[in-house]
Amino acid sequence: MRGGPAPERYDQGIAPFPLEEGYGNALYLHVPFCVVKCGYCDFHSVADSDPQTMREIVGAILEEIRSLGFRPRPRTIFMGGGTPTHLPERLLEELCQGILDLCDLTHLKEWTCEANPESCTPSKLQVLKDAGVDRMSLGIQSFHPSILRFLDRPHGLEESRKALELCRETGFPHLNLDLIFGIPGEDRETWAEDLRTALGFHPDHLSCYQLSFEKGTPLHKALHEERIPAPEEEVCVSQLLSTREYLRDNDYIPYEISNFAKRGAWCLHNVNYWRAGNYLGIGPGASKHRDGWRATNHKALPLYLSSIRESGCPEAQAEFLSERTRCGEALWLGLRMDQGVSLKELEARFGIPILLTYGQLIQEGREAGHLLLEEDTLRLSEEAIPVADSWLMRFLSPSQARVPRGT
Amino acid sequence: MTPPDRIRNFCIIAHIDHGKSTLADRFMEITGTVSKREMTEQILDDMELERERGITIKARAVSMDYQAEDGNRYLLNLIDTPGHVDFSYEVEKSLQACEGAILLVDASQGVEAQTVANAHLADVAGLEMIPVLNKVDLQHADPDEAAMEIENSVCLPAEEALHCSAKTGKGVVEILESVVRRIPPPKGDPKAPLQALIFDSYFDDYRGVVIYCRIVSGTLRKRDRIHMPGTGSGYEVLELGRLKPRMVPGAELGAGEVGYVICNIKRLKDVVVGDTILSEKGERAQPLPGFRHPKPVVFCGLYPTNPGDFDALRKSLDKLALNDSSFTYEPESSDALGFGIRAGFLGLLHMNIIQERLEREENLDLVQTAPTVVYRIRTKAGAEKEIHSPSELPDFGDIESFMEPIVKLSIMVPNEAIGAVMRLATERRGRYVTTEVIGHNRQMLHFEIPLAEIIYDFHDKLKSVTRGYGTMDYEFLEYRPGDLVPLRILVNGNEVDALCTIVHRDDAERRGRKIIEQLRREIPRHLFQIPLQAAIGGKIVARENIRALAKNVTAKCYGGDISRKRKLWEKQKAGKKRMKMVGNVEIPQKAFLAVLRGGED
Repeated sequence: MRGGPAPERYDQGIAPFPLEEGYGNALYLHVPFCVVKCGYCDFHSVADSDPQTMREIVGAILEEIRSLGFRPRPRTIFMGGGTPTHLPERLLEELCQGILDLCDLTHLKEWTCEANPESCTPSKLQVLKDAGVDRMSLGIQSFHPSILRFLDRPHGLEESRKALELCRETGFPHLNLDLIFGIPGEDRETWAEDLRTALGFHPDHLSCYQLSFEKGTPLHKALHEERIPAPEEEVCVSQLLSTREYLRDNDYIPYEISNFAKRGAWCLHNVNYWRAGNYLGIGPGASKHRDGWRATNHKALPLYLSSIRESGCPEAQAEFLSERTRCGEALWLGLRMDQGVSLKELEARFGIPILLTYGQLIQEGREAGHLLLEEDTLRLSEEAIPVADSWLMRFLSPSQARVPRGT
Repeated sequence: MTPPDRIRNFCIIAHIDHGKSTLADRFMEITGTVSKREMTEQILDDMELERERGITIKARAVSMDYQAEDGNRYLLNLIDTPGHVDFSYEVEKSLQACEGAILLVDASQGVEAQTVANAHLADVAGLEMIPVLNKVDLQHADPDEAAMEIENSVCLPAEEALHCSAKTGKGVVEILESVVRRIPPPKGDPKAPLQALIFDSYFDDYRGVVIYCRIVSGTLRKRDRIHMPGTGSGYEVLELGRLKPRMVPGAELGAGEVGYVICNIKRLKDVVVGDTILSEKGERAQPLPGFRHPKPVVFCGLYPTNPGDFDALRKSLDKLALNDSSFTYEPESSDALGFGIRAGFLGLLHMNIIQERLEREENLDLVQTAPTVVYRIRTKAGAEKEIHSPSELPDFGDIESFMEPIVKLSIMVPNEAIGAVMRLATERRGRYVTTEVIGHNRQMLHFEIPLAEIIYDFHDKLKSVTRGYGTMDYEFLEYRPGDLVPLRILVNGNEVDALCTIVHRDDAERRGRKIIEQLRREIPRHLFQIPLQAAIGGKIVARENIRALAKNVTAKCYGGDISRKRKLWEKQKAGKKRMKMVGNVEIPQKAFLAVLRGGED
């Protein structure tokens, strides 16, 4: 196995490489397995899978890469799920080795793997480290046992501590913690405590998400049936704003609505999404985007497997976005970042005069004190953060999606 | 021509479901007018809707030949009457065409308010009444109690009441014999100048207007020139004849007879119920008394749910008007709902029937706004004006006084529900007048009450507080001054015209709060706080705020989320197209609907 990429890449700022044609930039691998399915989770994952299914899926994922017809040359790799570390060690190794074999990693600058505390064994972490993974993202969610139980998380406090220490000991240079606030009944102090505890592990990156009740999840159902109380809006807003303030004070930059990083420790892979870049998603339910063409794979494992077997192409749906729609998306996604968007860059990319097209909306946002336009840069003000969607959704124009050839 | 002394003209007065149509069917069978095989169930109700609702909307008539026990053949003309309060003018005209009436009461149900009201009308018209108890063979029938109720409410001796079962035919011949014996023959002289009472009409797609009339005096012949003073129009009779119940053409209709007349009249409104047919040539008789144009008393807005259907709505109303000249309609536009129609009806049931026919027969999806009555205002400048819609109101400051229509309301109730009905009527500003004892367990309560208070949901409320046993009837009394005020609704300081209503001052606060509560539920939160206010003139009587939106930012937004989120937002944006901007507030159409449909309580 090859060693990981050089750490100095982080000094180059948030956009260290230009957005490129083709899928070249970002490779995402979806590993759809978990120990249990959490009550809030609407990501695509399956609990209780047998080793045989896991083996087939890993094989199919590698087959999907093989069938692409080109050799991916990712600058970033992100293995997510599900829980990649839920795979048995041998399969995890097979997956990593497959990536090393099938991709050209000459330009690789970041390789992230998501993990949950309960599946972080020293040997699995070593497999990842040996393959070149340099960034671990741990689904910690909370340091409070009662909240972990509420969220159906399969791990306890002790496992979280151990996993975090193990990541350090294994020598991953970059570490992210996923945390959740806005739990019904959770007060401001409980959340503040979680943040303090998290910083005690000295991660260089934190993702702090407000709990969302997505349709189809058990928590959504429980809320709908009033078996659990709704989180108090005031508390959530206060948690959101105080998180930004506290982390800023501790030198974490809120570079995206839910993401905080020490200088240079931005997740390059995710930044590419928010710059409306191209990306190559592999695995069941994964999406890919290439210059306006976007496709999503079959989610159901049997369908995914059979389509790989039959054609090597597991795409279930595809759409082609007009320049106008892409431009709207780029504004919406870009405004989620603290650096905002460069109007010139968007105009050059999509050929759409931004101030002419969105002038009234931008003007309205500026008058409300929610949008800031400084020379070429448009961004959200701090006041706009909690209600960002009110503005962001207005940048979308009706999709002119067309069905591409052959689908 | 049948000599008048062999003619009997009569009608049946009954409450809905007391068996009027079934009895009419038995009459037609016994007289051989319609064979059993031809008999479609309840032939007199020929509109689908009438049959479904069990209500006869339009009067019809049938002529029957009856071989009586006295050995003579008689021509029995049964004139059907609309059973509902909204059509009291038509009832009156049908009664005027008769010399007698069968008062049909379900022996298991007893007398109902409408039956009493119509029996009083028949009494005033001088009709001979034959009380008949129907459904006597039902297990829970109580003919003695029902007969006593008839005696108490309409002063017909209980022992005279005939017993029958229209369903089995038991006792039906006795009724026909009674009709022949007790109801006087028509008086008119066939040689006198022509007077014929129009008691109904309808529009036939191929033959134009078909007039139903009763010859009061004189004789009407084919090719006669006729004159109708109510509209001032003249026509030539192209065809006339009897109704059996299908039209059977003949050469003439003599005094006392009932039949149809066709004159190639193109528009239904050229013929008015209650008008008199006179001879154009020769000696001209006086028009019959009691003619008037019935005026709509209840108004509402009808808006197509799909704005593109406006033309279709207009055309459909034009078509319905061919068959019902008693409703009015004209275009109006609402800030909230776009283009629609302001329509006037004889009453609430009439309104519901028209709306249902529009939806069912014309396949239109309609929004119907809460009904209003016709107010009269006097302005400070001294002008008087009729107000059919709050949008016609002048500035509050210019209004000197309001007048509103008051009706006489009679409610038949079981004893145990009297308290609840009293409360209901007084809550609705009803003034109690008197009580009549009808039966052992039933009384008739009389009130004077503003029409506006009973047109919306009063009937439903009455049914619920009396567990279905209460029945009501009302008639217009007079216009009286009322302490009425226009209630304005302001959203973020901007008045929403479409939501203005006219309410009683004492009720303004409650109504205002109700409307504001409905708006608060339906208007989505904005980035700023939205004050909602209800006001009389400049005075705020109710207020609430819609809190500013505090948080909606999406937490997770990565590769797989982008497409999903965009589609969701696009769907939401499409929904916003149906919103109405008032100032800087987006009000969804369903907020207007919640208020305009009058969704009380």
